[in-house]
This record gives sequence, structure tokens and C-alpha cells, in this order.
Amino acid sequence: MSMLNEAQFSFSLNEILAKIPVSALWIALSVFVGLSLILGAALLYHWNKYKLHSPNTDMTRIVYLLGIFLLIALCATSLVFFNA
Amino acid sequence: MLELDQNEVLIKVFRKHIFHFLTQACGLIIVAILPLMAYPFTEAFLFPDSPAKLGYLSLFIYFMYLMVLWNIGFIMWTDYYLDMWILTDKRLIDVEQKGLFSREVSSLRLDRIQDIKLQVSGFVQTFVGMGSVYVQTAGSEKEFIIRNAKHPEQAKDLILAAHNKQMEATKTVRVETTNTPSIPS
Repeated sequence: MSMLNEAQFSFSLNEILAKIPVSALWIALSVFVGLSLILGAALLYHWNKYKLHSPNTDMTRIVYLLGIFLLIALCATSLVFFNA
Repeated sequence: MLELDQNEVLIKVFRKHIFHFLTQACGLIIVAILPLMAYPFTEAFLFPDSPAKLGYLSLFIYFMYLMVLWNIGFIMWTDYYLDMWILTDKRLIDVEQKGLFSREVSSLRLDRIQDIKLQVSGFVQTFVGMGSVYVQTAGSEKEFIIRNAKHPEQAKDLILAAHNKQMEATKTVRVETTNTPSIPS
């Protein structure tokens, strides 16, 4: 009985991950990218509206946008390799 | 951007100490590195007989996690950057950014100030020159607190000096008013 229960309820993370369709991962990435861009737009709006010393704001904007686009590119690249 | 009155002079803008933001940022960096450090130990449990392909999936999940942390970090920075206290010759303005979409701006007339308290607590605050300045007001208005300010002693001295100057100016105006000769009818 206990053996049967173990067989029924034990699971492997590999199997779960293997069952996730790649299209779902692309959709998840798109949702994340969309949310990040909305958040990024809100951040840029705040920095533009309330800025007191612009050189810092400009540098922050560049660093933030570079970082977010790099991370999006890395996510997409790893998905492409996963899919290959 | 805040706009001052026409004949209002800006004395100083106080901000939180950068150390306060850096401690938060360090916490975030540790949270970002933690999965990388834990991965070699957990790999054997999570993916006992995994194909190499799943490594890319782990990377994908990790990069999404980093994206969330990156955004949290910049929300923290915005909170740090937009929190400020502006001292003018007439009032003290407290600008408090709460998250992304909540902002509170309150101002206090300098002649309403009753007491100023400076608090530097602990080794770190003493070492980096960070502290809180409590400005108490007459009446039941809220207490103005400049938390984790950079150079709190300077902030306290400047507020006190501006307050004294404002009080002197008020007294002078009163004396001039009382000494004005009345026009005989």
C-alpha cells in the first residue's frame, strides 16, 4: 500500500520541467518583459518629472535601460538554446 | 518639480545618506548571488538525471529572477533619490516618496518650529556621518523627521539658524509696526 502511495505521489522536477511547453515559457517571458517595460516607463517618468540634478538622472536612466535590455536578451537567448 | 514662492530663497536640500541606499543594495546583491551559490549543492537533488538542456531553463528562470531584482533595486533607488527635505528662508519642505505611485509633500513654516533634536545612534552612523533630525512643531502638527540624513549636524545648525533669522525678522517687523507714528486725524 505504502509502495503504491509513493509511486502515486512521488514526482521528479525533471519531469515537471520537461512537461512545460516552450510556448508557455515565451508567453511568461513576454509578460515579464511587458511588466518590466511598464515599470521602467513609470521610473523614467518619475526621474524626469522630479529631477533636481540631471547628470545623475541621465546616468541612472542609461544604466537601468542597459541592464533591463541585457537581461531580456539573456532570457531570450537561454530560451532559444533550451528550445534548440 | 517643486516650485518655491517668488521671494523665497533656497538655503539647502537635504537627502538621505547614500550609505542607507548602499546597505539595501548590498542586501539585494546577496539575494541575487544566493541562487548561484546554492545551485551546485542543490543540483544533485533537483535534477538527479537531468539532460544538459535543463541547464538553459535554469538560466532562463535565473535571468527572470534577476530582472525582478533589477527593478526592485531601481525602485529602491527612486525612493532614495526622491526623498528630500528642502530648507528655504521661510519653510522646511518634506518630500516623501512612498513606493512608485505615492508621494507626500508637506511644509512647515520656520516660525512654527519649537525644538530640534539630533540623533546619531551606533558605531556605523557615527562613522559614516549619518543621523536623524527631529523637528518638533508648535501645536498638534506632525513631527518632521529627516531620517538617515547626510551630515545631520549641519542640517540641524542650518535649520536652527534659519529659524532664528526668521524669528528675528518677525520681531523686527513688529517693532517697526509699533513705532510707526500714527497720523493725527
